[in-house]
Amino acid sequence: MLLALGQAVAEQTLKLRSAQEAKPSEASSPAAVQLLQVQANVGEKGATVLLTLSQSTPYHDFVLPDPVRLCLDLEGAQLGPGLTTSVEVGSPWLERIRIGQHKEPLCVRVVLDLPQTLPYRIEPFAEGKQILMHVGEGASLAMIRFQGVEPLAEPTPPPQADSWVPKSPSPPSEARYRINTDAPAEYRTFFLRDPPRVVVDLMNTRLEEKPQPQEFPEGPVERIRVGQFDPTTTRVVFDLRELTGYRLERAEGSPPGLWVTFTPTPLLPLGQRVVVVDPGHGGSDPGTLGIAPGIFEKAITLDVAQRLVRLLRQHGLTAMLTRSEDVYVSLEERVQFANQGKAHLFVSIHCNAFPQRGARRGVETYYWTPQSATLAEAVHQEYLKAVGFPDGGIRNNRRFFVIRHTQMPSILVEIGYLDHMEEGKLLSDPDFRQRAAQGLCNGILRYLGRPPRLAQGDEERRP
Amino acid sequence: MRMWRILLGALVLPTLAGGCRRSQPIPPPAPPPPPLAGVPVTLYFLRPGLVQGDDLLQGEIRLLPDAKPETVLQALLEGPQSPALLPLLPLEVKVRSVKQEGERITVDFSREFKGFAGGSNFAYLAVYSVVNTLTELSGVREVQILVEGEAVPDFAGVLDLREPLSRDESLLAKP
Repeated sequence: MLLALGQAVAEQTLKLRSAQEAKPSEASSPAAVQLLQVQANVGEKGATVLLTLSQSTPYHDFVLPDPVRLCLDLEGAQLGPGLTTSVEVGSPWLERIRIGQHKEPLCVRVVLDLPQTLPYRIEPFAEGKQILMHVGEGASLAMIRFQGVEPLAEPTPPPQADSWVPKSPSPPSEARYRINTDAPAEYRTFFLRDPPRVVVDLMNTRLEEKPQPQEFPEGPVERIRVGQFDPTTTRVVFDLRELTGYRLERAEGSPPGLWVTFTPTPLLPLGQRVVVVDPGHGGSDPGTLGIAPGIFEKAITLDVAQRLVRLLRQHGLTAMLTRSEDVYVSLEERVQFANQGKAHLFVSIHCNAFPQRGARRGVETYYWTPQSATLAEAVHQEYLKAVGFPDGGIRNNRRFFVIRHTQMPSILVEIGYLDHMEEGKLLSDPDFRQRAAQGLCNGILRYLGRPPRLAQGDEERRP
Repeated sequence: MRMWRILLGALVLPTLAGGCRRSQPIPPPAPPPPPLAGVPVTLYFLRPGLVQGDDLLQGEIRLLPDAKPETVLQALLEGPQSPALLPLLPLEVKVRSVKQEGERITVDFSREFKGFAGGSNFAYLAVYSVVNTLTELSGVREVQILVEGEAVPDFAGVLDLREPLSRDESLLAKP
């Protein structure tokens, strides 16, 4: 099936540029070279095949006619474990890839079966450990070229002013960046937490030269870094001051590109953020029972909620309670209060109890909508830090009425097991409840991207 | 009155027994079953998670005298036999009435049902221990829970039970 080595120099008519000049340095131990991976990528203008080797080795390329084949011999190389020897690609640029082991002399031959005579180009990367083979219409154009990232300060209209919110919000501006390329590029994106950053990978795209990082003194983006992640992927990293929401859209017009928009929500002045705190149960509904007579969930949740609201206000937030006394409030009323009040966050406080009383302890946080996941995580972690209870996990639940029907990020925190000897005793202690409220407050501040600071007079109370 | 009940028993019991075995055709009138035999019924109880919060429902198969919803609910309220499982409903709860219309069963519990004093996730599992147990019965697809004849908009301060609920397999422990 494979071609004999003797034909190696037969035909080179299709060759536009030889990669011989780019031949990497001699391999130190030729027998140890292995071809580890072969990846093909088919685009609109051509195809690329990326070879990954265990170490660099000399190579030569040549073309054979009838049928048209582009061959690359890797000197002294052996096939790595698990490599498939033939892959059907079936594209207008590349029909199939074949790989074969030759013994005399030792080499691996990579053959690209082409549908017709095509320009090609071969380039080494990563100090010769990777070799990229391009075929297609003007092989040098097979790759999309990265042309830069530019910030655009284009304020978006303010949200509808709301009479219910005490201060009408000033117009927040979104931070937008345009990633320019010379052809529309496929992309993938993800975010990382520590430190907070958003990554945009442009597929089949090349950097002509690595640009300097761009720094921004203000706004959600601190710095933009661009690099060639691998031979076919250009990576753009947005280092953020804090993790914010973001979205990607294809940019209309010329040059082709992508808009990356960071939503400014966590950057609004805290005073314009409305947090609704929902003490569970109340009135005719006492909730669960504590370890001592006369201790009811409804009283514990109300006290923690009131302490939390005071702390949030001390930090400049607008905070409201769904009930501020021992009264019954329906689940629908609680949700309506938050939705009609255009709350930005909703935190429902409950105490847990196990059916076999006292046999379980820990903190559980529930959320439903995806937009609530980061709030759940921030509050859960900060609360655990503050109270030192075991971690009972963050979970999704579609049935809990208040987190299902509120329209803003919302969570339900089971702040501890009231029926557990230790947790029940601690939750019955006002000083501990202050600590609990501080933990919840820290989580909300962390979610909003503000470092928690101790409110006045708190220092002595903390253990 | 007495005569009426006997007649009903003769007519209805074979039909119900046939219904529980599902795939089998309704047997012709047969001699009464041997005294120790029962109808196998699956009751769902709490199987506490090894890791915190991985609590699920697990079925316990029991032989009951019949598979009437009343009988099944009574057995559910009495709790599990396996020491690995825990009851979810308050022991004092009584069933006031059970009504089946088409594929829906409406259960009316006594006021103690509202006195459920567990956390939100256990309230959730408690409700589905009832729903998943009753939807095991043939022809039952949804369950409406009432307390003292009224719909419950806020069970345990977290759940809206005003609509009938259908079976939730995601809460069942894998055997």
